[in-house]
Amino acid sequence: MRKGVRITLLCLAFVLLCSGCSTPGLELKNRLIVQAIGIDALPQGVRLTVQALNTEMAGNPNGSGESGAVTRTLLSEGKTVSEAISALSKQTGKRPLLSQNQVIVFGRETAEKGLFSYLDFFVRDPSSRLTVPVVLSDTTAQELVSAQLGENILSADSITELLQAERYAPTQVSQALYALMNRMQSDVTNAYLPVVRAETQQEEVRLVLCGVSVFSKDRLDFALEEEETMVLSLLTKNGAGGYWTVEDANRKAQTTVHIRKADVSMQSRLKDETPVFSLRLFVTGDVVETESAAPFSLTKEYLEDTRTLLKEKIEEAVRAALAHCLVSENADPFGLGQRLRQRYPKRFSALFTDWHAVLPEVEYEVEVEAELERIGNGVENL
Amino acid sequence: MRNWLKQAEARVTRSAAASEAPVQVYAELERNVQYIKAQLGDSFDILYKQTCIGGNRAVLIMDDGMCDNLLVTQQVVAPILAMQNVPETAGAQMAYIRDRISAGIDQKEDHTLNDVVADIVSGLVVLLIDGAPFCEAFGVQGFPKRSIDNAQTEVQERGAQEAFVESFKDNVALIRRRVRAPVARFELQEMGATSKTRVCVCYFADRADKQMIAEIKSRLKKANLDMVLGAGYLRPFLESDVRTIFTSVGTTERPDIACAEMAEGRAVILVDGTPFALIVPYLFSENFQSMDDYNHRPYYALFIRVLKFFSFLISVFLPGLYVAVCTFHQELLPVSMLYDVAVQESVTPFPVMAEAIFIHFLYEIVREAGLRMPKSVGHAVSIVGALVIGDTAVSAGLIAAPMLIVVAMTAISSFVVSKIYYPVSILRFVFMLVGGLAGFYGIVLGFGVVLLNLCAVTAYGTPFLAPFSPVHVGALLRDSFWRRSWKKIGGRELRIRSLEK
Amino acid sequence: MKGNAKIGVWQLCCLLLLSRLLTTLTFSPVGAEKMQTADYLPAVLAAAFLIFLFFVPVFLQRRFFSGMDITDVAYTVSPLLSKGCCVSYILCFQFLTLAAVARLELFVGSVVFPNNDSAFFILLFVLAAVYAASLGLEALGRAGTICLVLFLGAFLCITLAMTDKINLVNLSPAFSKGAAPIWTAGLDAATRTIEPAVAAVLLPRINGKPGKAFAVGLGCFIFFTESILFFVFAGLGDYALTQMFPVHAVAVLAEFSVFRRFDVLLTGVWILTAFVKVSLLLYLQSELLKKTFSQRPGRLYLIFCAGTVLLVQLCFAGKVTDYYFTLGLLPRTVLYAIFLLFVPGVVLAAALLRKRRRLHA
Repeated sequence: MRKGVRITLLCLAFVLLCSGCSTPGLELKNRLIVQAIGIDALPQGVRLTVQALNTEMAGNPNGSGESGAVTRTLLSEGKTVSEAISALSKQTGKRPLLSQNQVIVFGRETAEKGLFSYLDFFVRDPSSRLTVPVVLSDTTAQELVSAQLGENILSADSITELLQAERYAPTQVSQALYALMNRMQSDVTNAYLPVVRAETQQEEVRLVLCGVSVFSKDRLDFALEEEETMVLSLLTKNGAGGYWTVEDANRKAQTTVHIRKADVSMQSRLKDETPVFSLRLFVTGDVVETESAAPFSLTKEYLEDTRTLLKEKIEEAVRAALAHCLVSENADPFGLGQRLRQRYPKRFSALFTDWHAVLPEVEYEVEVEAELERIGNGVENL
Repeated sequence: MRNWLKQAEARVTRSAAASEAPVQVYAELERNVQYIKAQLGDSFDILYKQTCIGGNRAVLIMDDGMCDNLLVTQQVVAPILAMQNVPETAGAQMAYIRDRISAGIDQKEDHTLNDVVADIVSGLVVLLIDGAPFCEAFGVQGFPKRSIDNAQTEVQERGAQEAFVESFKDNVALIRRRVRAPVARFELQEMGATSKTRVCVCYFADRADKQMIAEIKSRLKKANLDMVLGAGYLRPFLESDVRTIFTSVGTTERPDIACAEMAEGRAVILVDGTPFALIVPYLFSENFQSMDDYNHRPYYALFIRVLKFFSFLISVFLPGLYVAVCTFHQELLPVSMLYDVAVQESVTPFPVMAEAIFIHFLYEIVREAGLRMPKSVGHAVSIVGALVIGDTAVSAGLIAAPMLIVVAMTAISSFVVSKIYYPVSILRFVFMLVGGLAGFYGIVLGFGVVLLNLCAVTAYGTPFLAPFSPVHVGALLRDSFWRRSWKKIGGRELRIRSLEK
Repeated sequence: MKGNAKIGVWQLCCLLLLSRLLTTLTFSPVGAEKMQTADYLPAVLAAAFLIFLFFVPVFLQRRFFSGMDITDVAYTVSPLLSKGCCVSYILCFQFLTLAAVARLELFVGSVVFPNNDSAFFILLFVLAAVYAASLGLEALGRAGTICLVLFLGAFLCITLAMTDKINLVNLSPAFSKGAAPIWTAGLDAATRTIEPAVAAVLLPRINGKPGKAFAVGLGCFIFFTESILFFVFAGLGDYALTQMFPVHAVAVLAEFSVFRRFDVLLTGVWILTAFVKVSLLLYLQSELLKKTFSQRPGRLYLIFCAGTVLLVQLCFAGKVTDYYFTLGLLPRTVLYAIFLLFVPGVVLAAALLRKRRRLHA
């Protein structure tokens, strides 16, 4: 009987090894390492602009100096994103590897038509990273991805570096793929994407962030002003790092405050079936610059006045942003509806079948608590 | 197939189990001498000294190389030749010599000629007297031997430096010198139908489990061996029933480690002619421990043990993981590393798995060559290996530089856990193969199989993975990865038997 | 086969907990009714309550028939009932093995090797499981402890790497549709595996009192499942419900320094846990087959059981549609009702009656 067991095991081992030979993996040398994907809609499908690493040109370990360009830009077309991606294999003889993709770029026209049909592939593909940032090109995705920024400067790197600015300048916001999908699929919250443009200055191309656009479901809807973007950052708890400049009419001076800490408390309630939101913002800032016609000392009164001005300015900005988004555009990129729904799940479903239609009637109370902590090294205005 | 292999083996071998029936010592001296000469042949080193004791003919037989001539003269020949008032009968003469004349303590009486022959070749002087149906053997061994030297394979930073030697009695003395307690037992038995090798089971009578000792002895007794030329011959008979690539029989060349193991209730087996002792039962965690851990402060011992464990993981899994990642799971590499690896791998002609197996095989060849060659040539081998593999192969684009880094890391890591170098080197190849065929999935599955296999091993009632699984909190806290201070553990002994579940 | 080896009660607890946590890892919203994400959190408590209820017959069995497994209890009523009980449990474990292998195949085919044929990987898996099962219960018990520690290690790494992605806003409201969906999700979670049946068969092979181990095991199940689901839904939001394997998706999301994804840890833990679980189920089938028929074939029973799993999986159940069927709530609930309530209930009641009659006589 033991013999029988052994023979069975041997047979299985044989099958195992044979199966192994029949399903080989795809080695690195057979993969096209994608760094950035640009997607533009065509009347009959989609055009992909792909920035891929050029391992052959740089891959000579003898160091003979034949390094060439680090990346190459490939264009492919297909009925769907997956078909267009598979068309890349025809050009390169390699299978695209999307796991290291650093950014997905959509063209403006594509965004106006709707993104769901293009995002489905990335949601389904197991190698795609969920944290990959998504941006919108001011023109076409091809222009952005294939931008020649100089020797060995990759547009993918350049875009991801620009998105890092969010940490230091909250006039910018970014969206990872999963967060974008969450917002696009939500029936109460609107998605938004940063917009990037390729600019040519003295024959040199550079990429610049040129604002934030809000979506209605998966379609591009309207753009946010810079101050509105700062409010969006504040209300999504990413407002730290921003700069606000306030003007003191009495002193004929203007002061720039750097926001070091920012937090927000959003309370929601229903008042006679009307949603009411209490927004309390807490900001702590430092005076980083003052400007006036005549020099003056940074006294306690001055700082108190500046604090009040800052508070008023932020309050005003928040109200303006809310008015623009909620009333004018019927959009809620701030996630107010989600808060209300979390608090009153049953009543929300019963009362607000179309949340966006209710948005103009929404009431909100805005309160800002501002603190100034530091004034830097200078004790008086120059 | 298997039967055919067995038959093929049987054609060139003969069973060593068949032993001749013992032959009693004859009363006639000539017949005894004749028998001995027939057994030992015309070997030049066997000396026969004819003499006369109290009117009876006698003969002293010894193996020249195995005896200390001075001792033979002082303890046996001179007293016998000088004795007076000798009794008349041969039997009485033998008793007189044994009790009154010989100055040595190591004496025995042989009644069979098989024992006589065995004693002669073991270095005893045998006295046969005409008319006596037995003989007297005197222990005057004095064969050439190596003096006690520094440990070569278990080098220690702090602590004793001396190691076991081939001489069996010296090894026992090295242990005795460290443990001057009456509880230490050294029980001798002979193994090997032809070699008659002396094997000693050493243990502490108050700590070792009696059942375990009895089982060890019984297993040794049942071992059907013709020659025992090293401790490794006995290892398979002492292993657990579950087949595993790791061993549940440890080895050491250090007497202090042998003592420490005995103090935990284990048995140490010394084999004559082998400068290594076997330790049973031996647990997996002991592969990551060394005597230095007990000489350092506990925090450093912890650090070193964790380091060793990670070295073990690196040496087993790193090449396989590298192959799996490059072949199946490129998404796991960080972007910058992926670019470097892709650039290097794109120019090599071989698939990553073939490249990994080839380069590791080459490394093992160089290592083996360096190990067996004389030291001076060994260095040359290393240099050639380093130049050929390290420089030329990479610059020629045959091998990717990251692969070379993997080999180097693996090689260095495997030396950190030198006690399990052999299973580790084999497992490494297995995981490279599995990683290339089934990626990370295969590696995890392979790890699972190895883990289950280790979990199944129970050595003399003690689980091989104890105290980690089954979890034994007391032993874990005392001396696993973390070793408690001697202040805490010094007065309390750990018994291996307590880890049983 | 080490048929008489015993394991500690904590080892059994580890094995059952692993088996249960595997169902959390393999949690998939596909095919189920769409729920609010926050509803899944109270559903875990409902599942724990149901599991506790399902364990009641096991405790009764231990209380009144100490040292007997469920088939031995049935034997006290009638040898035929015992054989019938054995066969039904064998079929139950076979079904569970199939379900575990089916989930693994789907995972391997969808996530780990999307470009390769998964048959080879399943063959490899079953082969390894046969070997592991042949090593016996003791080995499985010991390995279960180590796997659980590895599971916890991986869980800790992923949660630490995920912390900055947690946002409570992502949780959609709980109880928005009342308590009914919560109980449905609880039943769905509770019936994903069948530990009480395993415990009922393994009872005489356990050393120690199970009360404390059961409480700790249930507590651990609640804690880890709640934590995992919290991280999934607070991290991914509704997006989690668009994914085939949300727990895997959350591991892809986790990143630390240059390590951009931690799914490799989850994949490893998943395969290892499934390996131990399938090995245990194969072992149980083989032991029950020995009990029902003859002891002689020994390991051949293992090969037979594994072969059946392979055959069904590779020839009849390799498609996604089969997967939905295998894991549907209705067949699982029926299975649970039969093997955890009906069979033990009938057997225990009959055996108790017989026992009482004997005592009176």
